[in-house]
Amino acid sequence: MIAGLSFGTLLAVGAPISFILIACALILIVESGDTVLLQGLPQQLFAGIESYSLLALPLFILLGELMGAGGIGRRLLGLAMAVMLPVRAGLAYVNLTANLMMASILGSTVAQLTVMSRLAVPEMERAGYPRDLSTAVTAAGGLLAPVLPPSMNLIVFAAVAQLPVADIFKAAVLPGLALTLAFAGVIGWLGWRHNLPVVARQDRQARLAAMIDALPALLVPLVAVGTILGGIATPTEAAAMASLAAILVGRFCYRELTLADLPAALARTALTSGAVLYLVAGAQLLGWVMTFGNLPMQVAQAIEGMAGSPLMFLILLNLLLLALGTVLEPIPAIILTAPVLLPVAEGVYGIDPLVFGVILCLNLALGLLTPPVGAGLYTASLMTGVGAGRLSRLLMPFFAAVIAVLAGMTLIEGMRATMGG
Amino acid sequence: MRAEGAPETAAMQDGMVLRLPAGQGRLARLSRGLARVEIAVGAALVAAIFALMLANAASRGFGRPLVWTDELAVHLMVWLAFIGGSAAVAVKGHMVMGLLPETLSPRAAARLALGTDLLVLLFLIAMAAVVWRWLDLPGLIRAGSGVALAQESFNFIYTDPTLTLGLRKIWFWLVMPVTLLTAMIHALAAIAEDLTRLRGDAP
Amino acid sequence: AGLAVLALSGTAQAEALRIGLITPPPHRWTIGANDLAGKLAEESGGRLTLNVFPSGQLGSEAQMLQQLQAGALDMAFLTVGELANRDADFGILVAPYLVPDAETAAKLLEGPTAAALQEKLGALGLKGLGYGMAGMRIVILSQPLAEGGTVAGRKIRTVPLAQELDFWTRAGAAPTPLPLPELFDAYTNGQIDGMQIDLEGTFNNRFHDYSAAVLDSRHMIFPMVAVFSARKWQALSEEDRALISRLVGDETAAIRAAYPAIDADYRAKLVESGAPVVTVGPEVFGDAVESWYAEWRVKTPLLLELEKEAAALRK
Ligand code: NA
Ligand code: NA
Repeated sequence: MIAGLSFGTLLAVGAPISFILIACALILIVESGDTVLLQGLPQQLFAGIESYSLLALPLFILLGELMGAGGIGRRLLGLAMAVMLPVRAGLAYVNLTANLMMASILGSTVAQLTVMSRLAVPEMERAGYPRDLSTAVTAAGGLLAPVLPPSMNLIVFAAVAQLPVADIFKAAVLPGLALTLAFAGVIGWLGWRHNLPVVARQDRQARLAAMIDALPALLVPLVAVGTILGGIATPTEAAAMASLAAILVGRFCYRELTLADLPAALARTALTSGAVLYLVAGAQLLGWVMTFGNLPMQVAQAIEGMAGSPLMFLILLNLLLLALGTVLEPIPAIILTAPVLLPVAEGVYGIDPLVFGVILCLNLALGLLTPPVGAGLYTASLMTGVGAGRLSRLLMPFFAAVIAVLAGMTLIEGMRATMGG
Repeated sequence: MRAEGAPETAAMQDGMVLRLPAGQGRLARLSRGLARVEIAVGAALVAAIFALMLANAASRGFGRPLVWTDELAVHLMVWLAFIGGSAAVAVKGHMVMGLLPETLSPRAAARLALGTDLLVLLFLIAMAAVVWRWLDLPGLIRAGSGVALAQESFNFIYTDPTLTLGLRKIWFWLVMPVTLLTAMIHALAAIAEDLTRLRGDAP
Repeated sequence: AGLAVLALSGTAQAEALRIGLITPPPHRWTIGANDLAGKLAEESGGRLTLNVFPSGQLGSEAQMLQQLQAGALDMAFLTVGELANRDADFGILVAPYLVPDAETAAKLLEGPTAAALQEKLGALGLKGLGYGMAGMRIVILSQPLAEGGTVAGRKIRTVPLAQELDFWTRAGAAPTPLPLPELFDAYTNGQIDGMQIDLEGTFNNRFHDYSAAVLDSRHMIFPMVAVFSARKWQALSEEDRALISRLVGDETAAIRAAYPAIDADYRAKLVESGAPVVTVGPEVFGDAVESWYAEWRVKTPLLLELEKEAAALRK
């Protein structure tokens, strides 16, 4: 109670969110009387981000910086514009398509949107799009990463549920494509509403020049995909490989990246990663304290008490997850909720654990872009300088698209479980 | 709501200009110097993580996988978080959700900034108390060694090992007390700057 | 008011304990922990309750160990990795080809050497309450194994435990530590060529679909230790300690007893689904087994005692 009130007040006066999260954890501990938790608290704060999965974060931020500094992002977008049909908001569709392709390689929203916002936002701005809207389109595209396979979130869910990873990946493909179509719909509407520019049809010579100019730049994404599929690198290491390729191409092919640019790129990466990682650490700590207080179990019991049918259960589940996602990071939230909710979903309501997993992961992925705590939202904001508040308002239509996809899945699975059970 | 201090957008695109504390007092100079060191160390950590991941893939490719690279890279990343977190206090780079400030007069905004910076300092002091209790330095000195402390009082923090690095965990954990101290200096410098600003604005 | 006082004294006496473990809800260890929670509540008349935190909800084993030491967490089911990292003697439990099957493994974990090891937990701030185990370790490979071939030259995913790394190095393989979330992708994309796992894990992750060879080697035990926080143990009454000791003892015994059947069951399931299961002997590891023992008998002499016991059980 006290923790909740302090949370709201501190947010309003503009205190750093990561500190507020840690302060709330402290208040919760003192309130609960479980003061023994204070003894190990520094270790827990440290351990919260002592995770291999998070290594992708600084590496992809670095990749984004290097692709920007070396002129690689600009040329890749130039290529996309050269082959794009002259439709309204064409570049926004290019952005979405690039996100779709990247999502089939990457599994993390933050990683994807750091690279994409460095790559796409300046180009869209140059083509006459407002920067805030371009950032929103880019950030929303990042949501495809954890939904379409491969996905870190789905892998963690599979581990918790003891389901084959390949099965949950397959189950996520259709919802992921539905999400892409829904986003395309939103872009169409935005294009009409904001009168976004039509990509001018270039003459053949210009198009050919853009394609040739982009050939070395293509090496960077090729290295990222190739080293993963070729069995050379894990997705985390592939970010380092692609960064190396970006340095070489930017330095020797385009001659836009000088050695003097490197320290600045590294320093920006350090500051951005530091701020985002600190936020994750705070969110992890608060999640740990809530778990110790057995909150997930109590919530699961409350839901079970309220839901009379599979459909009702799924609706409550969605509402709970959307609420949780506003303050928690996806992976800790999955580990927190899946073990207590899945047995109820499967055992009591006969819900398919794969569908449950996709609904869970999509809901929690959305949380990355929702205030007050969303690593994706703040990363996009830090990368492009668009305020997080403005950005979250512009993201609303995309949130609506996600909720529409979730509603569709909920309805279909709810009816299936009712008939089957 | 905004990312606090997200600088002017053009600066963001063409290389973020780091907004170091501008004051001229001794505290501001100290904070500025520390922030420069922290940002340089952070950049070095990013470079090291990058190199370790390349080494990881390369060594596996050559059939001689390195065992310790993952653990080291992860620990350096945690250092990056804490050191970057401290520097972010100086350059106002932490993420915030100020709902009020945008609608306030400059003077009220300056007062609010002072209040927020005081809250940050209060938080850092509370954390310092928690960390001080956890480190139990008096206990360590009394016991004479980490092993003795563990036997006396179930405090194992000085004996906890890493898995592959052959180093005790405490060497990595020490980043927390160190960055709490530096963050406090940054917070104090920010408060001093707020006060100067308020005095300057005074009618 | 009288009722409120009664209720208050009631809650003051009731002790809510917590147990943490890394296995997911469907795993036999988690089922065991839930079972234990039920019995503890029943036999203590509701005075002791046990909240189960599966799937590493409270953190990794290293984190849980720290929480046990601080007294924040009461109980955990731990694998031996973190323990062996602090006291090499715990590594003798993963000696290769110590026992031929899960039945003998269960008996060995009930023996005097295992009990002596449990006494050493005190120095780590823990109270040992018995051993459980998972299925016998096997090896899966993404590329076929030639007739009479060995695992030499393959990149095998292992945990970074000194004894295990040493064994695979001696077998000529490249032991590759890899975090769990990367495992599936790494195996299917070829960053690693194989891993050490059990029959249950192979089937549940459908790893056999990506394997050219499922080597039923059963070369190692996978022990688990049920531990209590020594700090919290001190604070319990004599009566509660006796009750908890007895119930945890029963539960770990049930887990040990379950695994021979679980192994057989999953082997049948794998064969039925067409997985390339072959039974192999120590020769797939070259001469790693003998040279491993030569090294670790010197480093951890307690191994000799355990070997003697195992030999006696084999007769
Ligand atoms: Na993906
Ligand atoms: Na959120």
